[in-house]
Amino acid sequence: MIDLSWYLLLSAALFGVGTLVVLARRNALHLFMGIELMLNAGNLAFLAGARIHGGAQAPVSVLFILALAAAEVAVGLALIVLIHRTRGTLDVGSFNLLKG
Amino acid sequence: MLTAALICLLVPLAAFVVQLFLGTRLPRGGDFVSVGAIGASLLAACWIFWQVMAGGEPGYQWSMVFRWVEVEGFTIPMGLAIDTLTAWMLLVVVGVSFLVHVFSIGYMHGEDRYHLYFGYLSLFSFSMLWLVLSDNLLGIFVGWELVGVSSYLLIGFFFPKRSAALACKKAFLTNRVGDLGMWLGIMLVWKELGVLRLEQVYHHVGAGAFSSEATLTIAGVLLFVGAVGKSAQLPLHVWLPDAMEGPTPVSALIHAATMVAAGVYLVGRLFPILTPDALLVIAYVGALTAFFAATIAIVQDDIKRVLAYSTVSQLGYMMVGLGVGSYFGGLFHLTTHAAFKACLFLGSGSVIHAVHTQNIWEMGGLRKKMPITFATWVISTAAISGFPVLTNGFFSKERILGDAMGFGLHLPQHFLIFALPMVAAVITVFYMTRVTIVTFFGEPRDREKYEHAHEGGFEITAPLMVLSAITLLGFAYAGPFERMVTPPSSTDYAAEQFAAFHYGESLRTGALDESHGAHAAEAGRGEAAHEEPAHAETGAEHHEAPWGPHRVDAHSLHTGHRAVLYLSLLALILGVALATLIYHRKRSQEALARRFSGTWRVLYNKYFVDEAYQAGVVNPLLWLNRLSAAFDRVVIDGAVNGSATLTRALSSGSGWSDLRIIDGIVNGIASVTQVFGAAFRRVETGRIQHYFAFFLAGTLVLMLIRVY
Repeated sequence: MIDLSWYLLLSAALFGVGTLVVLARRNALHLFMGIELMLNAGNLAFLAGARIHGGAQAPVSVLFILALAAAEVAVGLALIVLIHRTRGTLDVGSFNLLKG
Repeated sequence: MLTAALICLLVPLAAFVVQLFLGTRLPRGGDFVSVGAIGASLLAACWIFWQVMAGGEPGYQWSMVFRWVEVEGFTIPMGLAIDTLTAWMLLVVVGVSFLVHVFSIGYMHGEDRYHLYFGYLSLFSFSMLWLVLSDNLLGIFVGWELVGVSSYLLIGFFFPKRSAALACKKAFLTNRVGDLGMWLGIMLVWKELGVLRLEQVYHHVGAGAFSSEATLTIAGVLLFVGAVGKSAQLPLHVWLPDAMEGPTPVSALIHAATMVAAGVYLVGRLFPILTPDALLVIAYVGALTAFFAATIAIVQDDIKRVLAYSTVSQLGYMMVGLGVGSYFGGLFHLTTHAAFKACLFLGSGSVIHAVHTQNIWEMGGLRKKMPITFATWVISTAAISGFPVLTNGFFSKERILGDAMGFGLHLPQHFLIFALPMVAAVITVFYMTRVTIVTFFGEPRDREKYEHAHEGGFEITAPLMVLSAITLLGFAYAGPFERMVTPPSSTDYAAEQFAAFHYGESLRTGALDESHGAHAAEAGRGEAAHEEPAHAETGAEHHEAPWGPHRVDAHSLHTGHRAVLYLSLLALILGVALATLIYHRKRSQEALARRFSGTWRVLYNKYFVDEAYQAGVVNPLLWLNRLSAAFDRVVIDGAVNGSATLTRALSSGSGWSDLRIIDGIVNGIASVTQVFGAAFRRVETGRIQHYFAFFLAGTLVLMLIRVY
């Protein structure tokens, strides 16, 4: 049996990678992928905890998160495609039309 | 009677209004309006005269009163009154005025503002009639001021000429000085008696209502000051000669016959209430005026100025007459003087009209060219000289001199009151003869002017002839005048006082000690004044005085008259002879002027009275003006400007605080907000990564707090 801490470490590492991606990349698509990584790092931590403590709350939460991520991908990718079409770029730094 | 009085009074006023508004549109400048109006007045005056005189009753009295001002507990009545004196005055005023109107048609022909001239004449006639008809002091004062105004307008009729403008200003201002005195007198009477109707004033004064005799004297003298101004008596005579700048008919009407006589008329009206002291003042002023004005008249070159000074001198005679108690002499001389002096002035107007100069030394020999003017001139000159029996001047002037002599003989310390007019009588004959010789006799000095001279039209000669006829008819009306025109009999206060002072008391004290006579007489009068209220209580009936001033001491007056008759005959002969000797065939008076250069200069400059006024009154006034102007500039303006500066400093302070403090706070808040905004806007970068980083950091901090 693999110790829980390894799962949590993996989860934290994944989260950290996702965070770094979100902070460092400027492409909207990359940001999106970083967010997916962080969501799944969270899922991994939920499920690892559920293996040790049992119960149904964690798996249900994971299912909600997956549904949320799916919805996110559906809406988010549509937005990204649209933005790319209208502005010809996905650099989030250039989305400053509302800046005063 | 009321209708006649109102016609007499108001028709000229209506004519004035018509002339003022419609004069320019009427044919001939509307002169027929004014002449017709004064004609109607003349008819009314004649009717009144007939009504008053026909009864032959000296005490005739008609009056009409209406309330003029009526406030709670305070009423000022106005009214018209006619007695014998009024009737005479009406006839004199309206008669002369009518003749002057007629004369003016010829004299003023073709002048600018012809219609206004006649309007002013009508206004003057109305004013003078109002003055004469008024039954109270206030009404007289109103008429008094009205004649002052119309005189001002007429003197300044040729106002584009600077000298005329100055003359009318001078006349007006000098008269104001007198009027101030008169007004004070009226107020004093009002304060003491509370009534101004002459009849009531006589009655109250007769009943001893005045607080003291000294007050009554002061009131009398103050009222006389008004007469001094209007009748050009000594200190205030300066305006009358200058008033000759007006058109000559105006000089005849206003400054010889009527307005200047108003002062004498006033004194005559006040006669019953004048105290012996006041009468003495009047007599002295009159005597001095008669003498000094006559001396000035000797050297004047301007024919109208000679007549002007002659008028001043004759008015002095009237005052002497009234002052020594000769009611008849003073007022009758007013009447006769009105006729012959108007004739002289109109004659001079006729001459001036013919030769277009007023300098007698540019005339000469005019008797051949202007026979009618010459004849009438000689008649009126004879009248002013007192030519016996034939002229009216004889009756009035001899009476004044005779009464003055009686007075002087009884009171030797006041002998000057007789002596000065007597000497002035010689001088009068002298200067009138001088003017007559230089103007009408001898060879013409200015050929060209002489050739152009001619007698004026009928409207010029007719008034001259009428006036000289009146002058010659003096014997016909002297008697009726003396019989009819007597002082109001309702009071004998003054009469009794007068008789006691002049002929009783003073004789006694004078016999005891001449030098102290006046003091003793004063003491006697003081007693009399104390007794007065007692008399009033016992009733006025018992108070009837035995003799009025006109009946005083008939014997001594008759001897006076006899002597005066001889004296004035002597004066007549002396004056004519001297003047003829000196001026016969003289071409100029330069030789004379050189010979008596000192006297000449003094007389020619009228005793430097004008200069004295300039130095003594006008200049100090101007200094005072300048001083108060400086005060105004420095102190008043300083205070105003100072407060302005102060306000400016204050507001600049408050402005500064507004700018710096209030605005500073407001702006400060704004800047602080701005600074914070500027600082915090850095956070809001619009970069999603930054937001995320903050979010992450915040979460971590919260977790750390949770853990520890």
